[in-house]
Amino acid sequence: MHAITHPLPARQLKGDLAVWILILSELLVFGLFFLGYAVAARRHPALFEAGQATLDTGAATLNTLALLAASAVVVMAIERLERQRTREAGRLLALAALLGSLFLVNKALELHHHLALGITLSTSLFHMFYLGLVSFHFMHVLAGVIVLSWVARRCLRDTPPELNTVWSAGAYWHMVDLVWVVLFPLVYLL
Amino acid sequence: MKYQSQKVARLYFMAAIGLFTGQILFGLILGLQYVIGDFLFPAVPFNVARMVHTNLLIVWLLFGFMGAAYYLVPEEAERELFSPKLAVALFWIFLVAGALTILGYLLVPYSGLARLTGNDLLPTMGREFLEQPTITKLGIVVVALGFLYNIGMTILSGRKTVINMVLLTGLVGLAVLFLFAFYNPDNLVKDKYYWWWVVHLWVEGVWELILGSILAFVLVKVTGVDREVIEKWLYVIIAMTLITGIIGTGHHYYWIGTPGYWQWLGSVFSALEPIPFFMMTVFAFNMINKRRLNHPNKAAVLWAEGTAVMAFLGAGVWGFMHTLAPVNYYTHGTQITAAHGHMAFYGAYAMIVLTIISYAWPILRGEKAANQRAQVLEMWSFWLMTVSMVFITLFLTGAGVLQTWLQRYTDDPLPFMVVQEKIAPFYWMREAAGVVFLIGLLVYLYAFVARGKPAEDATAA
Amino acid sequence: MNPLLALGLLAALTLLNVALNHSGVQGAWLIPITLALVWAKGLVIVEHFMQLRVAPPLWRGLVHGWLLLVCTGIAVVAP
Ligand code: HEM
Ligand code: HEM
Ligand SMILES: [Fe+2]
Repeated sequence: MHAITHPLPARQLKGDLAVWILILSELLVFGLFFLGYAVAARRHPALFEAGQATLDTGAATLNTLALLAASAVVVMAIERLERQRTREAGRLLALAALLGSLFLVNKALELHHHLALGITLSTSLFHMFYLGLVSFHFMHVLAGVIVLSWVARRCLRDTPPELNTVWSAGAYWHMVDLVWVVLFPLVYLL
Repeated sequence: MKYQSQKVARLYFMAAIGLFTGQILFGLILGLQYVIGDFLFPAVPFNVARMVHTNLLIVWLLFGFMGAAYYLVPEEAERELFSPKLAVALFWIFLVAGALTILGYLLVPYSGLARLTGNDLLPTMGREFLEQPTITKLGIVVVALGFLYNIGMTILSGRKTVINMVLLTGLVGLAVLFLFAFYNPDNLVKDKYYWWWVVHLWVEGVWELILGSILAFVLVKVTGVDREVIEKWLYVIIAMTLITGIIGTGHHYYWIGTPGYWQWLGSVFSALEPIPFFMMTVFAFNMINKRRLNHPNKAAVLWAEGTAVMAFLGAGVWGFMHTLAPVNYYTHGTQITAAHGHMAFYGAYAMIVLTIISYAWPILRGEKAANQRAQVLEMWSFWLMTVSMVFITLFLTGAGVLQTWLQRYTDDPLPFMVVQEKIAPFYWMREAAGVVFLIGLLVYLYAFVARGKPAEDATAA
Repeated sequence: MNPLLALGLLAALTLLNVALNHSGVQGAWLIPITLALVWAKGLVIVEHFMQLRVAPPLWRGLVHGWLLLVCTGIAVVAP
């Protein structure tokens, strides 16, 4: 056995290969769900238009901004961490987790509103897609917030995880954001 | 072998292989009954042989999983098994209960067996894969609880590794989901609905965790790659398994009377179920390419690679083939389903059990790997069984495509039995491939004999 | 790109999108424009947040391919 030395690659995937495969897979799941939505909306235009009219676009817009802001803050945090400014990074990550939680609270209220009206997956095809997509995405934000909080805590205690791990966490969070950027206009606007 | 108590795994592995042999014999009987309708009638009717074939499959896989757990949990936890005596006792209980059940199937008419075992007190019999009498099911629960207690105590008081935790999660999930075998609603829709919680959520949910952790364990051992790398892959694989597999249950809810939205949910999520299987393939080959040592047990490495490939083919590719609702509308319950069922069960679960046996057996005998001749024989059996399973799958797929076409898709469909006559050549070829499979299995068994006496006394480790 | 600048851009695009869809204008170009805006936002996220601009071409291509496929797919399928 001889040691294999890799020259430092000029181009680099920031984060772990396994996590990136996960990200790609998740993108596929959401992508397929989106296209399914589009097909169903085309088949039942009146149903989907009526359904959309019952959604609160204002709250969803606010939520979009919260997610985008969280993403930007994660980027700032990682820049700090790369320069060993660990605690600063920790505070920024905590802020990102907070913004993510804001999204969660807002979305939970929205979902509660609909469920309280007696709406379920069976109410209509539109509601199946709406509840399905939104709650599936919700779970991803939740997972993202948990990961961000964990990284934030480690940073605040001055025991940050490896940079590669933080990159992976960041990439996952941006994926959640990217997916929402498509989901929002598709479900709430179009 | 690091810990004495790992030795109980041997009993479990032996039972697994014995029952595997029985399963294959009944498979061949079934295959012949497909083309010679009254073969062995009335002694062994088709429905009975089928029950024996599938139940033996499940039971030997359970023996295999338990053996795997008894082997790898102490090694990972770095301590002796909590109670080896309990493991041995449970082994005999499970084996005797299993044997009695199979004898019951073969000797007593099914309805008589139901009466004999008091099925009317708590009716649970009569559903595919879950045909066991209620008392047998209760026995399974007792064995499962004892088993989980035993390995749970070992894991919790020892070193906690990701492999152990994932394995434990999978095994607990297996036991918990089995409880739905006791829920048997009169409403046929609900009956089927919850039946899939056992069947689908087993093979496309918690069993995948078991598969992933055993594969990861063997890869750690035979490649010497850093544990952290392997654990990370394991995390990602199980995340994807659960994300796609749970809602993916919907691919069984298309036509059974459940709400129509399942056609969407089931199609979308199950279409992505191949991803974790694909990841497993990438994972295994990636780790083997990065290996830091050349383990002398070449056969075990071959089995691990084979599992990674065949699980993806059987579950991923053949599953995907008929998982979208518009396709399944035509293929539902045809030979396509049987083709997929065979390759997926063999490729994922039969092969992972054979992988861990291949890796662990020599070590349990006190040697690192079997001698050259035995390994060559074992590799021959690998190729014979695997290639013939590929052919069984291809022949059944051919039969299924024709069946779907003639019986369902054309403008003037033919009756079921007319179509069966037309596709009989495929059934003959399947049976021929099945004979080759049996030959492969016999070579596999002979490879154990060819190992000769253990290289050193196993207790000296 | 400075993350705050990127955020400003993303927020502006979002608000533009919402305004466009609430202005009551209808027309065949509404959907393509909406998705073009989505695509632009996606570009910023993929390139600058996920840092794929420094990634190997394969990965960069895969994620960009996804984004393009989803956006055009929706634009084509949507009524
Ligand atoms: C190792 C994993 C798997 C095993 C052991 C397995 C096994 C089986 C078996 C035995 C059946 C027949 C059940 C019955 O009696 O009706 C079945 C049905 C089915 N499987 Fe799988 N499967 C696996 C993974 C998958 C995956 C990943 C997919 C999808 C991508 C899939 C799609 C299906 C579908 C759609 C059916 C229903 C077929 C019908 O409508 O008749 N399976 N599977
Ligand atoms: C070696 C030759 C084998 C033959 C000839 C054979 C034959 C058969 C036949 C005829 C059936 C009944 C299909 C029906 O109900 O229409 C069956 C069912 C089944 N066999 Fe085999 N089998 C063989 C090996 C195996 C192996 C190795 C496995 C798995 C490791 C396996 C797993 C199954 C399963 C899961 C079912 C139920 C399938 C379903 O519900 O669709 N068989 N087999
Ligand atoms: Fe399934």
